[in-house]
Amino acid sequence: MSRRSLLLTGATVMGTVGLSIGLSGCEADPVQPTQPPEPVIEPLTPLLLSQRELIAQYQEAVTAFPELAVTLSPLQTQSAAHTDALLAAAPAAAAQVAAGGVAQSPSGSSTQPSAPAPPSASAPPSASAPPTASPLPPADAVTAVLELAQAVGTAAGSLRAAALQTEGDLAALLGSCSASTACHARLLT
Amino acid sequence: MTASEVEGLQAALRAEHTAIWGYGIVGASLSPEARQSVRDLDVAHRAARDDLADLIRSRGADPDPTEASYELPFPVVDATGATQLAAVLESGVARGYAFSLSRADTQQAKEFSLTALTDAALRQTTWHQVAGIAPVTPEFPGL
Repeated sequence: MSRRSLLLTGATVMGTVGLSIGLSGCEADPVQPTQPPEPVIEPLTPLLLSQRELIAQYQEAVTAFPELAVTLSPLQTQSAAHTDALLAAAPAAAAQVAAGGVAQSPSGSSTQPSAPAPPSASAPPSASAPPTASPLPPADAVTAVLELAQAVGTAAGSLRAAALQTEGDLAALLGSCSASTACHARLLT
Repeated sequence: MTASEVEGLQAALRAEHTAIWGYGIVGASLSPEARQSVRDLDVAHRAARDDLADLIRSRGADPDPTEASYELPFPVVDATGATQLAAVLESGVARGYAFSLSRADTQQAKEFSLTALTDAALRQTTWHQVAGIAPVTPEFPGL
């Protein structure tokens, strides 16, 4: 077989394979290749995921340094209340968070969503991972509080930015959560 | 800008009027050393009141006037009662600004309301610390 005929044969085979893949993937319209829909990320989804990471970071600090519980647990409880209120107020974002992640309770126990999300779910990629705090545990209690203070300050800023981009009762809720979180940051610094 | 936004700003203004009146009661019941911080807060609230009045006028409305007096939520007879009243006053201010934020449709009114809401929550936290009120931080200030 000449090199030219080999290339032609290969091209034919590849074309057939490509066509069969196309046909099996889209029987209704064999001409148009299928494209998975672009995932639409709700505006509050990244914020809610960050809130959950913050709660996890609180829990990590309290677990590593129990003497911090007196100071941190009330703040962690309030952050969890903020997150719950925002989840209730933004059901579309809450559904994305629930579809892709592992709900972390303030006590540190984890609960899986009732039905695991399929791989093709339109949740953002970061939602597929459970909330994680810093990759390495803090070396000491002072460092843990400093890292938390930084994370809490960032969270307050994110909540503020979201409040300014929203209107109505949701803006008031986000603003209230932002103000409360700013108070947490003040206590931690 | 809408009538709704003006309504929200007026609510915040009425809350500032109340706070300015209430801080007079707070200051009278605290030690001379503590009065300076109350004076500073009084100045801050008067500045916010004036800014709110300007915002309302710039929207073609007349700012709501202050009342001659307001009803105290509880009798204030000592420093403990005064610090508790101060926390209540800041809670009321936060409510005014949260309402204003919910009604705002210009970025100017939103940013003003949110900044003032945060300031009120921070002051409330400080008064909670002084008065020994737990939790120290308000969970949903203004709501």
